[in-house]
Amino acid sequence: MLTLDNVHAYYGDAHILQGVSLAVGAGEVVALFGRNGAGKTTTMRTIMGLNRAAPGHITLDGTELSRLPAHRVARAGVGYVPSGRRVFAALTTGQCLSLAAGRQRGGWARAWRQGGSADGSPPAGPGNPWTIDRVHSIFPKLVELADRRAGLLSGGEQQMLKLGQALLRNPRILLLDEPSEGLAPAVVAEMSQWITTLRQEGMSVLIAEQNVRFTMAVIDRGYLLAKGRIRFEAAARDLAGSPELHEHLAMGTARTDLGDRQ
Amino acid sequence: MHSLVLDIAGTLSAAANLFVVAAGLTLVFGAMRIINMAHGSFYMYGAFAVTTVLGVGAGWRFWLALLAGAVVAAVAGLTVEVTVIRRLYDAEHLTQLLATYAVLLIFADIGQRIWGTGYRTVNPPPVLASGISIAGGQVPRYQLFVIGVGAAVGLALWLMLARTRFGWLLRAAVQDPESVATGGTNLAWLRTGVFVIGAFLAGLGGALIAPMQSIAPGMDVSIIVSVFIVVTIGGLGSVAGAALGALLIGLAQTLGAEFFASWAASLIYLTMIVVLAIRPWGLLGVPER
Repeated sequence: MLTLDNVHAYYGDAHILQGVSLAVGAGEVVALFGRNGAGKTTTMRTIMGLNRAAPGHITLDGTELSRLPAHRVARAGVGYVPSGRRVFAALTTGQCLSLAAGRQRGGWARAWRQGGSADGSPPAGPGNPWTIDRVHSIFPKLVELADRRAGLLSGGEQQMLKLGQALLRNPRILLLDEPSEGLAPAVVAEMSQWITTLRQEGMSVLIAEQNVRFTMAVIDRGYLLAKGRIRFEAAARDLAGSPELHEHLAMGTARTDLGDRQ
Repeated sequence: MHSLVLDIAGTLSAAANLFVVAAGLTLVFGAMRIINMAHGSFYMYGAFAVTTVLGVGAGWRFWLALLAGAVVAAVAGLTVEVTVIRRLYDAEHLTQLLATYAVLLIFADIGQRIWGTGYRTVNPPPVLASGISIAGGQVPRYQLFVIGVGAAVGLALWLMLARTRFGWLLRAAVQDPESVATGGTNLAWLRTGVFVIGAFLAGLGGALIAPMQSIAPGMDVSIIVSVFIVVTIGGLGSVAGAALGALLIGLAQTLGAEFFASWAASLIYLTMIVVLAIRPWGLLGVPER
């Protein structure tokens, strides 16, 4: 479904991605492991059209994404959940969800909409369409937080909100950039529950992570990214015991222990 | 004391008019970080468009002229955004300033070809031409109308930013434009929309002022100086700040004209210097990170 073929990317003169090729099948949950600076976030940003893939091809069900601006990539069906506390801090939780949901309906939202799917219906994805009620049923906590400013939510609540926003745009595939970063262990456990739920719904997911322990339980397959290249690819059960993965992510496991203390 | 009520009405109407223009400028700056000198051109075109529509002859109404002034400015704004501003989002402030100043000069030239170099005047509509007796003073009805429009514009902007999805999207885009784009919104058109609203307000301000002063080339530069002072005092990007700044400058203008006629202009700059010495980021602004 999502395919990267020999993708390169630069920041100024720095050659960050040096020919990344990977694929995520329909309904598959795939991890992209790597240390800080390996190029995980750059891979995500390049898929989203925030960095230009030069050269390289990125396709979603055969549609070429690599020359599209970010909003067109989003409308083609790629949902992006960036890392960290990137929520619209000044808006309430309810307003954030309503904004995301506004895309599916008519009204003014349609006036801003250029292209999108030909008949104006939400792109066909597994388990679509997502509504605010349905997001509330997965994340009941968002109901009571509706009037709270997004900037005042805890890290875990912000992750719920960001996931909810991404789902409301009815993506065909979700990109999660370091979803466990900075979260307390109990919340990390909840996060794997949510991803498992999405997986059961048939959602395709690409997760960029350093936290092997958290990720291993929810994925089908994983890639190891190092210095802008894919080192290897393996099914989850083969990855679990891979010494190479653990060696590469020694930093990552250390960070998990740090998280445990929070 | 006959003049107190007149002074108040004069101050408030001047402030309301400044606010309408300044609100457009501050909205554009807040949403796009663009300092737009051509805002003065949109204001002048709004005023001249009123003279054109009223000059077409009997049967045309003042209200139509008012709307035409704002719409002419909005169309000019659309043209400028798509051809010039859109290429400048990532440029330095100095580059933006020079480019929009160039646009102002071009518009000034085109304006002289359309409307000539002389000054023009228009009358307020008959229904607003007379005065109304308040506390012993004859307050011009037109001034009350301008105050009402200023209040309505303020209320409409507040409702837009607080209650509509468009307003939420705008506030989200101020904070994190990238996340707005990855949410599927075409930022280019969102910015165009904001810029057109800003130009519309400039044109409305120009159209509103038309019956109160003579309309002449050069009013583009003089208004841009005034509204820059207003938005700087209030805090760049803050609509409420623009209202507060407009009140202060309106007051300084009235007091200056009343008590220190020969120093009237200096009083405005003095106000700005004092405010900025105390709060460099403006009354309701936030310090730039």
